[in-house]
Amino acid sequence: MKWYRVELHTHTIASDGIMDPEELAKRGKKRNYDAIVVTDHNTTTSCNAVAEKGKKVGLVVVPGIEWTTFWGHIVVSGGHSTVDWRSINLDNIDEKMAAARKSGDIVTVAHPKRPGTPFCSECRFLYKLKDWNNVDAYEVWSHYNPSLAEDTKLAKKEWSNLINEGYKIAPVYGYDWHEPDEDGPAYAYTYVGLDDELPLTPENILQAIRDRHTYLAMGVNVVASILVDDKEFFFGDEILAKQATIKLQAHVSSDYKKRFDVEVKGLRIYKNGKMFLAKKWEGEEIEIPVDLDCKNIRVELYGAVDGNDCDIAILSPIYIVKRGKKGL
Amino acid sequence: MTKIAEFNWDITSADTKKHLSGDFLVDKPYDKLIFDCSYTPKYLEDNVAGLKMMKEALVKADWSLSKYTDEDLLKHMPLANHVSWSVDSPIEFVGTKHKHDPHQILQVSNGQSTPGFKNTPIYEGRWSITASLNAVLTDKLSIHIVVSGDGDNEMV
Repeated sequence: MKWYRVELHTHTIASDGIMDPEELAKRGKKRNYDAIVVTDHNTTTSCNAVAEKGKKVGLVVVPGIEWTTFWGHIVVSGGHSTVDWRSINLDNIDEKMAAARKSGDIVTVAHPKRPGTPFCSECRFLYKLKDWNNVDAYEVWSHYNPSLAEDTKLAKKEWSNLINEGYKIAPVYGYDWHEPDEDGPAYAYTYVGLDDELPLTPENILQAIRDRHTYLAMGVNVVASILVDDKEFFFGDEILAKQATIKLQAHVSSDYKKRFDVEVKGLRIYKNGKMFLAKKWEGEEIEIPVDLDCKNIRVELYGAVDGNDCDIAILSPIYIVKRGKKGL
Repeated sequence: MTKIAEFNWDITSADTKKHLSGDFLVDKPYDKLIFDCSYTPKYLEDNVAGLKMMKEALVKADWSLSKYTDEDLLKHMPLANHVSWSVDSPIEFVGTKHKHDPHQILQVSNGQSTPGFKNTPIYEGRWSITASLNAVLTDKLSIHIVVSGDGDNEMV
């Protein structure tokens, strides 16, 4: 599996961003993204222009939109959906999400636990979804210093609860990039994993997120897999087995370290949302045998960024399925 | 430039989260449509009311209110109203402008539409402009829109 840095939430002058398509593409490349998704508020008119400029600088660009509704923001990525954002309300949100997914797009709940109005117009997610199966991804982290932000604790708790209820939702980070902020506070990356032989294309990025092959990290590259006998699985996969070995390695990203001081201090493993193992660790290759006597296993890494102790990576969960139920 | 339509809407905070639409007829093949859109007031100047709103929002969002002093919260003042603008042609949704300026001049044409709107011919027929009331924090808000057409393809 090859991992790419993909920023899933960006804005241009087509909405309230201040970067034009060329500047967004150039700055995206400069920030070492492999791909970005253009997600202006309720409009897609910048997507083609950013894609053209992206081609010139070697940045893959995925079209998208941020449905900026009165009851929350939803990032819809892929550029296929024709849902009119003004038609979305508290009663029909599930069917609108389902329509977007049916068109080939993926649906991400954006910055769900920000305080909303009057701080920012309805940026808190107020919908009571009937079916979270219509959600592909969830912004567990968002914006600046995501691991330390007040809304992160609440977002991580809700996402973790959804996973424990049996929903399979990819964790992602949304920078919600509106302005250059070259000297701004610390940010994170969403890493998206593609099979080695697959090229980095918009459709392959979307499929990788549907497959939940994601992790989010502040300044560390994580190499992680799960071994069942001799077969290798990846975080986000469904596994039918009783025992497995988690294989982990993390190293600080050299480009990130130029701006922010990052330290790996340890790891935590959760089974069904409850901590199963906490261990001091500095990122060296490690193998951890685990009994798969649960519905899901999650891994988080902790450390410090610029001297502040915080989570530095969240991996997509492993889902354990029982015999006869795989693929449900 | 020919004035095609004008809309004046006086609303209250009870109207927040509503869409208000005004239809107008384009009866000539203009080169472009110009939408002069504004609303007032932009800001809630009442700090006491603003503080109350912010505290209520933090409590509703399960944030730790105790972490924030009034001084911290006052840095967010003045709180702002927010209206976004959408245009529909006789055949399709043309786009939305979600930006925070209280006065915006928006253009729709076949080659030089304002970012946020598609480039489209100015079809003859019934168009509409929609004001989406994302946040109305003040007791009252006045919205003013003037729609004009410019250029005439048939005469060029």
